[in-house]
Amino acid sequence: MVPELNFPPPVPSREKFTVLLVISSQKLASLSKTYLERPGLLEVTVCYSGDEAIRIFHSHSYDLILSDYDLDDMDAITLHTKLQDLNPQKPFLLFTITDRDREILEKYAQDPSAYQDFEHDISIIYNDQAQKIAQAVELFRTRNQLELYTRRLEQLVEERTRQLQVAQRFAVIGELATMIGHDMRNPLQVITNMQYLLEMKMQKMTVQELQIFSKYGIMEIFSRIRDEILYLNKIVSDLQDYARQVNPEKSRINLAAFFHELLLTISPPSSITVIKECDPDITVSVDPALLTRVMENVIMNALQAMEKGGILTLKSQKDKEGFSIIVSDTGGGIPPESVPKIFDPLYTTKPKGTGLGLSVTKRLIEAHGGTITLVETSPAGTTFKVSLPAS
Amino acid sequence: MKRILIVDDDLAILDSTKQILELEGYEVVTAATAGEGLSKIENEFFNMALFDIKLPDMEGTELLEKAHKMRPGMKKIMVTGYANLENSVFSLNAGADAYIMKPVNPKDLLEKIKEKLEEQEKDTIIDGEKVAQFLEEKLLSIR
Repeated sequence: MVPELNFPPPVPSREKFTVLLVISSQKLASLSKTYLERPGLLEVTVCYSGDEAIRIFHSHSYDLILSDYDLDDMDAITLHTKLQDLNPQKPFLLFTITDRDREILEKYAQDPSAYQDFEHDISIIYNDQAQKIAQAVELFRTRNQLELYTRRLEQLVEERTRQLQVAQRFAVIGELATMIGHDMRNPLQVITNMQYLLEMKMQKMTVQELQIFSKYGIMEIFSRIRDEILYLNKIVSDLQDYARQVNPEKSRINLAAFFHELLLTISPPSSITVIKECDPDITVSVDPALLTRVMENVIMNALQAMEKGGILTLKSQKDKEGFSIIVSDTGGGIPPESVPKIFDPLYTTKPKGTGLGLSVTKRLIEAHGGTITLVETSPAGTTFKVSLPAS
Repeated sequence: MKRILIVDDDLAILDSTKQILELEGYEVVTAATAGEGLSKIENEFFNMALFDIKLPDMEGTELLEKAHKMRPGMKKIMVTGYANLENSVFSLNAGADAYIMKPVNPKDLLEKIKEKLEEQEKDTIIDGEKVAQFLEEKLLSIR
């Protein structure tokens, strides 16, 4: 369907245009005001010099400036230039009439009773001016309106382009994730195997043999290697999770029991106080493996935010659509500039982060038909909420 | 001693997995291609086989199907770097007993192997009992 563009009429009907008339001749001024306002289109304010016009222009807004050419203190061109410095867009018209017409106006203004015959001509002269003014204002407004639509269109195009770029970026990340995950898995499997063999063989060593190891600090080196392998494993599994199609295999679990188990595996350090507020009766239908990954990610983030200790709060509650899990920490909070990006893949502020944790979490949750949101973050702590449907 | 066959085109995987399984007391044979794996399955007895899903001469799933026809009682575990639902569903339908993602923690792999071999033992006992019962019935009818 072709969208209908409803341009509102540039000029609402019955609205009077406001005109600032700049003219030094007092008599012509009052005559002009009277006649210009007569058709009911215009509302005219009069001022008698260029400087006065500039002063008024500062504090009032007019649809148009109508200026006589010769003013007492400057000519209309100078006035126009000065007004343009203040507002380059404002329509500016010269009060241009033929010398003969000016003569008629001046004579009539001197003594209206003596020149009553001129009234018809004068009406014509001013009607002509009033029409020019109305046209100029309408043209100006139409242009403004058009510019507004153009801007809006440009904004729309920009916005769509940006969305497209983001989508493309995410697609590339997905492909890369598949590729890297695949290419790294074999060497990593071998390293993991070797690490396992190393530990098994060390277990079989005699005390004397092990003493030689500790003399040269070899145990520490091995343990460092083991930690880095674990980290590498995490990167690859994050990459694979990110690239993977998520197909939840749901089963019914008791949420309180689930949290109990989860906290046993995570085993938060002693500097962390864990508060659990879980209704013992909530049973939910979820993929336990996926929910474990999700909660591990969110809780690990919370723990990392509280390196110097703090309080971790886990709440679960039933609500209208299903149930929700709320995880709060008392860490330093997420910097405001990072907040919009925390769910973007590869975005991280941690020296050892892959930037995939939260984006994977989000994908897993969404595959369950649920949502994850950042409820609040401040230097006093951060709260995430995971909502999942009932079935 | 339980015999296990590993088929993977990565020699380092073959070698390191073999060492791990041997430490646990399994007898391990390796093959770097599906063809080599199939000929070993045909000529030797194995309690279990581990198949990589990507092999140079054949898809791991095809190898699985052929192996399943030859030795339905042999436990088969698919090992893969891809998490792909079609593959896993297909594998399970085509007779795989388990589906494992690389990289796998050796402890988890050993646990899975142990679990499947125990299953096999139970199956064998049940099969044995059935055979015994069948024979007994036949013998009774002859008398």
